[in-house]
Order: sequence, then C-alpha cells, then structure tokens
Amino acid sequence: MPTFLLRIMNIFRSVRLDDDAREEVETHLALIEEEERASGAASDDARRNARLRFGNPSVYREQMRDANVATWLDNLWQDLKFASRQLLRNPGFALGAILLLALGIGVNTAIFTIIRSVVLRPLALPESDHVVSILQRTKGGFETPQSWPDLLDIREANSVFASTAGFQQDTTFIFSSGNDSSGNDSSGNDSSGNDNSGSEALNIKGSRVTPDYFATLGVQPIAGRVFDAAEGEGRNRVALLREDFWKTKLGADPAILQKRILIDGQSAAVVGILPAAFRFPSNDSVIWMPLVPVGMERNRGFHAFSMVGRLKPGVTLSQAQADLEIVMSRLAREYPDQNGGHSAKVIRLQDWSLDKHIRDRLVFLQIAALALFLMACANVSSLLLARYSARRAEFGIRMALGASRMRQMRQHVAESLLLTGLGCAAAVGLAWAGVRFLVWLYGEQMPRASEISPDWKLVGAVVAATIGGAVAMGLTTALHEQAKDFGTSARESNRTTAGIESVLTRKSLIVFQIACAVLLLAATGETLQSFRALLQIDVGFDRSHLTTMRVDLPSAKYRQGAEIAGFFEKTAEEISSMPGVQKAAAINMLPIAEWGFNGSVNVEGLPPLDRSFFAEYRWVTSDYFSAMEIPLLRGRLFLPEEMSGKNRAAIVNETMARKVWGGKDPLGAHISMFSPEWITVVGIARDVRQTSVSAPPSPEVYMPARSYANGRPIWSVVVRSELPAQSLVPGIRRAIHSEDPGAAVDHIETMDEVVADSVSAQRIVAALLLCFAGLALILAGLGLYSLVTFTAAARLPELAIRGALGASPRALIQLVGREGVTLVAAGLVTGLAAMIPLRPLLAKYVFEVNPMSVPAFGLVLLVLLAVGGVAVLVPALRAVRVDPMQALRRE
Amino acid sequence: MSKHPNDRLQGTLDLLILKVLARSGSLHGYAIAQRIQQATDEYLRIEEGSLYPALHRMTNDKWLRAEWGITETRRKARLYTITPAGRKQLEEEERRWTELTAAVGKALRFA
Repeated sequence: MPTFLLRIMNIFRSVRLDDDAREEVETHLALIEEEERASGAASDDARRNARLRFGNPSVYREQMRDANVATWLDNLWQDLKFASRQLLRNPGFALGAILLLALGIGVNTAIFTIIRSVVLRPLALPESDHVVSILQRTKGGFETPQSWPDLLDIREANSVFASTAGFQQDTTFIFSSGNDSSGNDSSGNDSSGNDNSGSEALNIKGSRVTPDYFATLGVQPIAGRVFDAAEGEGRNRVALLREDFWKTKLGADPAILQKRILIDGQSAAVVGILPAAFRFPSNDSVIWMPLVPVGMERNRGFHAFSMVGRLKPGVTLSQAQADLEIVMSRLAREYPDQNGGHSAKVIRLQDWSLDKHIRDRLVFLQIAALALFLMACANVSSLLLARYSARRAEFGIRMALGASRMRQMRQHVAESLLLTGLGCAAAVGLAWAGVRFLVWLYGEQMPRASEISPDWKLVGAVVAATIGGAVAMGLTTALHEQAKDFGTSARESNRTTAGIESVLTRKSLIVFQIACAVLLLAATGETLQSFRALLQIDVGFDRSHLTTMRVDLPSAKYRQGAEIAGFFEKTAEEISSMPGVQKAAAINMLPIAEWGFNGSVNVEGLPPLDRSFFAEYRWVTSDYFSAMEIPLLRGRLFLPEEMSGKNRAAIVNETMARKVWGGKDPLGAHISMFSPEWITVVGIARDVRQTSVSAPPSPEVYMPARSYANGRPIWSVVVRSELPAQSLVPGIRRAIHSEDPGAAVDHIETMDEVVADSVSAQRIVAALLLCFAGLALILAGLGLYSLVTFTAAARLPELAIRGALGASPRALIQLVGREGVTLVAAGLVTGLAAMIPLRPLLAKYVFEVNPMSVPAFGLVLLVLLAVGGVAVLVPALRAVRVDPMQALRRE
Repeated sequence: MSKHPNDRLQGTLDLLILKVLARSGSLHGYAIAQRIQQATDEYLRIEEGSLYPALHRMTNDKWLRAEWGITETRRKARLYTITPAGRKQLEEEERRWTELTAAVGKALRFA
C-alpha cells in the first residue's frame, strides 16, 4: 500500500494503534519483570529495573507513529506556524505579496464571474439550448425582426418547431396605481405607501406577446394562467405581471387575480403572475400583454415583431435553418415586393439576447486583467526568489543541522501556500466587491444582470488553481536551492550574491512586467484620447443648461397628432412661464437619446431617391429650435399658421440638403413622405447628432407637432434654464400633471447627462483600463524597485570599496542604476512592439481609436520614465549613502 | 521517508530480526530480543526503544505479519512471523551484509 494511503488510514486507526502499542509495551515490561524476579530481585526492584531497561516508552511510541498522518499533519502545522512567523518577521513582504495576489486573482475572478453569468451560462429557461430566435436577413445583409403576416406563415409552414411565438421588444406601458375597483380597501393598511403615489402614473417596461410565448420559452405562471387564444385575438384586456412587481407595487395583494389594474389609462384584468426570475425580453420587463397587431402593424412590410421558437426534440440548429430557408424562399416568390431576397436566420436565443459589444469588451477586459494577473505572479515569484536568496544561510544551517530535504521542501511549500491562501481569501472578497462594482458601472447596459451571482464552483477552481500554483512555486524555488550542495549555499549566503540564473529569471520577469505596463498604458492613452475627443464633439446644439425628460401619454386618450401637439404646446408654454426658465419645447425623439423613426422621402421634380435613402422624421413644438439653440443656416422657422396645420412646411438639416439637392437651393422645394401631400421646405437647420455623439448625422426632416403621424405618444420635453435641474423638476412635473395627471414622466436628465450616457460604454472601458494601467504601473515599479534594491545590496561591499577608492557618488549611482535603466528601455521597446499587432484588436473590441498623438505618447513615456526613475534612483541612492566602513565590516 | 538505506545500524537490526524470525517461526518482541542476545553470546543487546519501532515499520512494509497471541506464561502478546516478502528482503540484506563485511575486511587488510 502506498505510504500516503497508509497514513490516511492511520488517522482512523490512530486510537487503536496507540492501544496496541501500549499493550505491547506492557507485555514486554511484564516479561522483563518475570525474568528479574526469577533471578531473585524483589518485586519493586524488578519493576524498576524493567522500566530502566526499557527506557522511555512514550518516546518509542512516538517513533512508532512515524507512519501516522496525525504526525504528518502535526508537522505541516508546525511548518505553517513557522512560515507565519517568518512572514510576520517581514510584514512588508508578506502584505505586499498577499495584496498582489489578491489583486491579480480578485480582478480576474470578478470579470470572469460576469462573463460566465452573462455570456457562458445558459439562459434560465428549461432546455434553453432548444430555444432559438428566428430572424430575417435582407438582401443587404441586415437582420430584421418578422412582420406579422410572415410570422404567421412561418408558424404554419415550418416543420422543425414544437412551438413559436411573436413578441414586441421593449414596450413601455403607463401603470397607474389608482385602482378603479372598490375591492382595494382590504389592502388599504399595508399599501398606504402606494396610496400616496396613487395618482402618479408610472412608466413600466414590458412586452406584447402572443399566447404561445410562455409555452415556447417554457415558463409557468406561479399563480393564475397565461393568455388563452381568445385573449390573443384581442378579446378582453388582460395582463400578466412579474412576481416582484406585484409584491412591490401592488402590496402582494392576494386577490390580484380578481382585480383590474390601469394600464395606459385603460383597465386590464390580471390573469396570472410570472416568477420573479423570468426576465424576458429584457431584465426590466415586468408586464406582458397580448400582442394584437393594429393598423400598419399588419402589413407584410412592417418588420416589428421578434420571433422565438422551441425546436422539436432532436432537431439541430442547422436543420432548422435549412427548413426555414425553404419557407422564406417560398414567401419571397409569393410576395416579391416585400420579401424579395429575404432569407432566414436562426440563432440560439442566448446568443441573440447578448449584446456583442458588451461581450467583446468583457473579453477585452479579461485579457487586460490576465496580463495584470501575470504581472502580479511575476512580482510575487520574484519577491520569493529574492527572499530565498537572502535566506540561503538559514536553509544551509538547517540542512547542516540535519533537516531532511523533504522537510526543507515542505518549508518552502508551506510558506508559499500560506501566502497564496491568504491572498486567495482576500481575493474572494475583492472579487465580490469587483462584481458589484462592475454591475453598478454597467448599470442598464448589463444584460441578465439579475443572474450575476458568485460562482462557488469558479471560486473553488480559482482557489484550487492558485494553491496548485503555490505548491509549484514553492517546489521550484526549493528544487532550485536543492540543486546546489548545501555547503556551497551556506558559504554563498554570507554575501547575498544570488545565483546568476535567479537574477536572470528576475530580470526577464521585470522586462515582461514593464512591457505589460507599457502596453496597458499605451492602450489606455489611446482610449482616453479617443474618449476625450468623443466628449468634445460638437453635437450641433448648446447642450449646457438643458433639462430633458420623457413624457408618456396614455395612448387611449391621445391618438391624433393634434391631441398630442395640443398637450405639449400647452405644457411647454406653462413651463416657459416658470421663473428662471428661458424656453421649453417638445420633440418626438430626443437627439442622442433616441432615434430610429425614419423613412423614405420623395422630392417633386427629382427622380426617386435611392432605396437606401432614409430621413429621420422629427416633429417639434414651436420653440424647439430656440430652446435647443439649433441655428438655422438658411430660411426661416415655422410660422404660426404652419404650426396650427393650415399650411404644410418642413425644415431639413444640412446633411439632407446636401444629399438630396447637392449644390442647389432646397428652399421652396416640395417633398412628401408618409402621405402623398406635398410639403414645402422652408428652412435648413444645422446638423445635430442623432444616434450618438460619434455617429455622423443622418438626413433629418423637422415638421410641426400637429402633423405627427405615429400613434405612439411618447415625447421628450426640453427645458432651457440657468437654474439647476433639481430645482426645476418639481415645477415641470406639476405643469405636466396639471395638463394631464395620467402622463408618466421619467428619464429626467440634463442634456450633459444624456451625452454622458451615450458614451458610458466607452467611459467604462476607459475607466477600467485606466485602473488597470495604474495598477500595472505600480506593479512594474515595485518589481523594478525590489530588483534594484536587491542587486544594490548584493554589490554593497564592491560599492564601498569603489567609494573608498574615490569613486564619486554620481559614478556609483550610474553603476547601480545602469541595469535598471536597461531593463526599463527593454520593457519599453518590447511593450511598444507588442502594441503594433494589438492595436487593431483594440479598435475592434473597444471602440474606434485614433492613432495616439505625439503629446499623448510623450505623456505615456514620461509617466513610465518617472516611475522607472523613482524605482531605480531611490534604492541606488540608498546604497550609495551607506557608510563604506560599515558596508565592508559587514563582510 | 520510511527507508534509510545508508543507516547501517538500523539495517543490521532489520537483518537480525528477519534472521531470527526466519529460523524460529512466530515470536513476540521480548523473545526476539532474547534470541538475538543469546545468539550473539550477549554481545549485542537490543534496545527495546528501537526494537518495537523497527518491528512496526517492518510490519508496515509487509516484511512481517503481526497477530495477537498468548505467551508460554499465558500473557497476551503480539507475535511476529516473517512473510515471503520478508524472506526476500532477508536474502537481500544478507547479501549486502556479506559484501559490506568483505569490503571492510579488505580495507582493513590493505589499508
């Protein structure tokens, strides 16, 4: 049996082993006693003699237990105790190493926890790998959702899905907690908080879905039922709520299934409650209502509905893809106008619901974090190497005194084990804090945020890996030492001249660290520079002193453009009359925050524009241009008779004027968009950024609010005032609610905040990179510092002699520093060289980076040289300052 | 670290124990010590403090088998028997011992 197993068995046997041993000794003593007595000794003497002859029984019992694991563990405990004393003797080293390890492990664990939760872990749906998203791919390669007729045709014609469903993503509903049924009295006590806000309308996220949505995704209501077929066709107004919404907003009313709630100003019956864990289509979906297409939503060309399907058992993704290709090509033949050239695309729902950018950036951060971890490891092992070199005398003496090699090695392993153990413990805490921090940093952009949880399996793996690493690290150093005759090492240790190979190893570790730091610094420099440029882009209007908010009106009450225009004109006027407010206005889509309501444009007298030409449609109230301070380049603003709808007029932006009319004058031209009526172009407005600060402006047409052609009454209000936003908001809310108490107000932000939000993804990457680069710099600096300190200490006698013989301190510093400077230079060159192949990756995964400017590059260089300089100079100066006599005596 | 091949003394004790047990079947610790003493005309006195650890170690190494039995004076005692592996080891140890003594003898004659 292997000795180790035997030892383990002995743990359980140890009691019996002890008994056996004692009994055996007793027998032996008794036999000696018998013999003594036989030779005539008195019985007392006989016993005494027996004991004398035997020696100390407990000593031998202990020896016997050599094969016992308890002893082995006991030794390990001793080793650990000794190791912790060693670490305590040098708390700076211990703390440094533990912190380094904790940082390296913690940062990586944090990012990987998020990657695992968000990217790798399957969706929290039963057999989620069978659930797919069904998209259309247009001739131009764009992926679009389905139109309602296509959705029905695919459902009928396919042979690969057990069930399919359609839904509309990210729909906003207005929820008014004022309940129109009288049965609410029972819960009056606990829901007093709700009653206060009873009149306040609330914007809630949800989705309109077909009845088979829930079966397709595999979710069961925890109370009540899902929609039936009749409700799917619009019979009755019904809703499903998410458990936590029911609990927080409805006081967990147990009779909820008998009640009606107010959604979009109309009552709806709650037929069921879905589990809180169900977060689809988005993390903040709390309400689901039947999808009943109306008006243009029924057109085959109106692609507005996402589609999910559950594959029949045994059907693969590619089989489904092939089956749908057949369906789509048939549809393309039957409806060449709408479906010509369209094909199908089936992807796993998990891949569909994940934002590619988030994934790429997380992966990028993980790579940066790994570099950081490697640096931390390099630093710790270089610290350990230095320490072992310095402690060579101790190990030599221990060997000479008879410590076995095994014991020595165990000592090395115990020390690195203790270090990494503590580092790991700190790292787990750090990782959890890091996860919370990242989730907070990403905010709404983080998909599946509710599913992010500490992954104990992962933590276990990390701990196991690091402990394995620690044992390896200890063993390597130990073997490194063992390779030498201990006599040599005992002699060598008198001076701390380390073995050539260990210094070489350390040097390359340092170059590696500096290169990593350079790489991260350069990447951060480029990212920050691009980010700054992004923030300074002129968005086309004066974005300071603007307060914005989104106002959602009950759709039942506001169906016509005139009603919506009336509401916003009146409200804007009222807000403008508030003290301190200069101007207020409203627009259907706030620049930078919202976009995507667009369509084609026909121009009188011009051939039809390219099919790919789209203009963004915007409807504004009278004071919009003056409130936003968007200058008109030519022409004039809307006249009152145009605002009132008597005459039709439009203002186009620069890009539109240039793209459609080229060098010609667009003023007075006639255009038409969604209806055949001709509209006269009366002005050209300066371009403003629409989708984001970085995306170039698209063609844009402004029209008076009254002609608003979409039924969706969600607009944004902009208020220009020198007063701080917080002091304005209550008054603005009052103005809006005095016009209609059913209006829901949210997304209250200053325009600066809107701009900041639009670049938040880039800001997060920039901020994290900056953190990483700072850490990398510190790590590299520490590594360099410890190396120079170490070599300077080793050369102290030499330096002392040189000093005594008349070398100037300057020359001595040069002597000591030369090595450090060479290392910095080598690291710099390596890092910059590595940057060349990595730049395209940065551009691809983070965001478009401009080539680094000379000043930015100079700054990076300067920072690195400053840190390197301090790390080299400080220990060099210290070494030179030592009194030569003292240094020599130490020899 | 259960084996110390360079430890001559310990090797000798192992050799003696194995030899005694190979001759006399099963014996308890005291009897083993007695036999060795008698066989060497009281020249070698076995330290009890090293006898039992050696017996246990050799039992763990499967050279000996131990079981509880009764002595001639009706006392409970652990009786040791040699195993086939022990016999093999004995041959090995004997060979090594002969080599060593031969070598030492040569050295003494010619040095």
